Amino acid sequence: MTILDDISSAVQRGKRKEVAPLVQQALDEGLDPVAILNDGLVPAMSVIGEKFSAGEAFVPEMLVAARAMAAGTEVLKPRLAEAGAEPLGKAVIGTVRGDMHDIGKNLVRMMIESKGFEVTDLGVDVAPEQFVTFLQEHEDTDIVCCSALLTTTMPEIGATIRAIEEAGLRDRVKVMIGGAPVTQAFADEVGADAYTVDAGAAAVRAVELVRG
Amino acid sequence: MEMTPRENMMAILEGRQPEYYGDFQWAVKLMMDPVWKSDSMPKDGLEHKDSWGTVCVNPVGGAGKHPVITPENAVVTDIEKWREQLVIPSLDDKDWSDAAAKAAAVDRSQYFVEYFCAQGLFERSHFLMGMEEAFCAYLEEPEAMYEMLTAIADYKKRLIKEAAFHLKPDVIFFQDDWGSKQNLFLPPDVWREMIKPLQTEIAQVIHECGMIYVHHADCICEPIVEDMAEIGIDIWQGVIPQNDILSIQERLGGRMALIGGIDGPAIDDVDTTDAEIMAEVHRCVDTYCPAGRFFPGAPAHLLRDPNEHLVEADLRVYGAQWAREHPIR
Repeated sequence: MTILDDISSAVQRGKRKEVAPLVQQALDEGLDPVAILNDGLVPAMSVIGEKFSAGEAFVPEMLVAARAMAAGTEVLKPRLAEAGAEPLGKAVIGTVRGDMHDIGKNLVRMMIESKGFEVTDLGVDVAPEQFVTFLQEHEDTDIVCCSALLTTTMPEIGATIRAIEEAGLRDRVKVMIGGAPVTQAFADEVGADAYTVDAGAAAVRAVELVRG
Repeated sequence: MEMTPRENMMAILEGRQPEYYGDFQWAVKLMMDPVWKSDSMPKDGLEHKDSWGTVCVNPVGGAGKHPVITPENAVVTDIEKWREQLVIPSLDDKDWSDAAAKAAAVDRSQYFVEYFCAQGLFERSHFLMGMEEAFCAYLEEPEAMYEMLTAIADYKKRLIKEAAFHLKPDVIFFQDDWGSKQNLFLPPDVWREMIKPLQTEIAQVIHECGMIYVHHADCICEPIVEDMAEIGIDIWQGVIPQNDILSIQERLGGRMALIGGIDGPAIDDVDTTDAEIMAEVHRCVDTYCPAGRFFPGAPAHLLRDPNEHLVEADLRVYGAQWAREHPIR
């Protein structure tokens, strides 16, 4: 077992108190911080994401793993900045207007972050104009993620996409959507770039979208 | 002689020939007790606290109240300090007279009196802490979490006994959503360790009080259905078709009755046609009624009234037709 294997194992088991010292140890041993991120922390979350998509891992296991990864990333941050490492991409996420559900949205945020994205979370009950304002103020945003958990709030996803179009920003960003009642057919209807069934798949798709 | 709604649903529950198949809830009169009333809040989009101190919002035009828990307003911010942070609501000051009068007025030859017991152990745990913190606590601090769940269960048992004394309900509708549309929230072994023993105690109290135990969970429960039957749940209400219902019926062999089967969100769009709604109702009846002890219905209310009304209207007609054409021998 290498130290990267140890880091990966600790993240997968959600042992945040183990991860930070292991990451520090890896740095002390002279490992490249980018390698620790890309070969230790990120693959661990990919494993959890795949297990979640397969129904073999559960929400709390994803949460503790994501927190463990965050503990490791916190140790790495100053060294990554020194190395000039850039995030894989930038995303903004929120649950649409009128919808207060947040657990699925939070899982997607964590999983996308775990792939190396910088994610801004606008929270729940986010109006289309809030997404637009954010995009106007953050021109380097790559992906907009929005979700709805109710059939009655689902149309707000379409309203959000239309608002982004009307603001002349649609060509600049990719739009990913999700939520329990959302389907691929609905995504096609409202003109989203991607729909995924769960948080693990969302993270994989986000990477594909920014890598083209 | 025609069966009363109550007799018809008892026939399905007991595996006898009914006059029609339909939602068990058609035969109940739901009692809005003082605890339920104190936890209700206006549809004003503003923050209100329920009796446990959980901040909730009931959005204008929304589907119902929803907890809005932040690190600043969470009741329990550290599970190891739950005893200091949580005040269990008192049951001593409740006025049951209104609910008791309504229960006494129900013609029980026609209908069941149903007591609605909202927010079970699991839901209350995340209402107190927020979902993320609670879910992590289940894995990281299981002993402290179990202690808090035990305190919640003790409250629930006291409350059920109070309701039994005042209302003499025939049925309890005990709400605890244990999962999502994708899976259980907790890993099954964690659910078995943390929820099942306490839920078994609650089920014992429910049965000691002479009630039929209807458990509402409109989510995936497939991994734990045998456990649910073992606990003593008489009817699982909220069986969404994302569960493999046919497999569940085979595994259970009739040990627990089921209510649900209709894919509500799939037929709850403004553009959904009447034909699509009726096709889904018929699919549900045709597919799941043959196994017996099955009450077809929407696991949760559809949010668009015309769609909801058509589901019920068509189910009443098709459920009766199906019963006539498929007699239990």
